[in-house]
Amino acid sequence: MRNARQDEFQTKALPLLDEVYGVALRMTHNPEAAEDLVADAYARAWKNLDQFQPGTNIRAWIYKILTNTYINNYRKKHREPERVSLDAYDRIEDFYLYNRLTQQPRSFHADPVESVVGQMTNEDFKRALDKLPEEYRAAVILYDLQGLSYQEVAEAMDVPLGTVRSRLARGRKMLQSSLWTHAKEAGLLADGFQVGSAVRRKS
Amino acid sequence: MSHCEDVLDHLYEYIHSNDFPSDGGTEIKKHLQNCRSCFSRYEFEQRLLERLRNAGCCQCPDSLKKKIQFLIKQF
Ligand SMILES: [Zn+2]
Repeated sequence: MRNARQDEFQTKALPLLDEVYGVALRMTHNPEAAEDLVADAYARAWKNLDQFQPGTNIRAWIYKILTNTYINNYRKKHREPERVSLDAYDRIEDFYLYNRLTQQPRSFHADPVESVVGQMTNEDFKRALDKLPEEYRAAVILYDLQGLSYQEVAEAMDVPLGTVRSRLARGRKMLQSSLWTHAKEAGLLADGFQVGSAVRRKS
Repeated sequence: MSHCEDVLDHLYEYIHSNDFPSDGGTEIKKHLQNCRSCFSRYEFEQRLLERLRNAGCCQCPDSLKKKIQFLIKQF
């Protein structure tokens, strides 16, 4: 015998497993830990199903439980040292990557935006995301990547709305500046025009 | 709401679409149709987010799916 909530869980929460696992993997950086986290979160959701308000967004509810489980249980065991200089990031402008790329000289055959955003691999993007300190990473993942609302992210992370907004703004800056650094180091800008002292082909 | 600065302030919310600043959605849309500089940023940020979203995509292992199905039957 199943009730309406259990039905909703089966039909709407279980099909989310791929994307929820993806988020858990980005939070934990570790496939085994991600599996444990998702199993824990789903078990908790199932046991506490009576706390779910029918008619509200079950996806946001699942992410709330996942994030809470991660923050309360998981993070303590695997605490990562996070010393970032926030001031340094606050001095970075908005739209940092766009501004850097569009200020590059265009060559005949290379559009800087295309050669960077188009050429970077999924691995590059994942790595940049993984480098973010966890509270910024969680905000960016839940809002920008998973499309939760400010309110839903605030509830998931148990912080005020203003904190969500400032973590998002900083998180995006950190992400964009690390993508920019990577693009330079990987030489993605070097094709077609020069960066700093770099490549001039002898012919 | 037709100044670039106001539009750029809400650009991510516009892209996100769940968090339109109250009734600003249509104003932003109009502005983006007429302002090349804002539209170009909009396109870029959208594309960047798309790549980030796709980069994180992955499949939940079948063993985990089975484990969760099993857990659910237990309680
Ligand atoms: Zn504009």
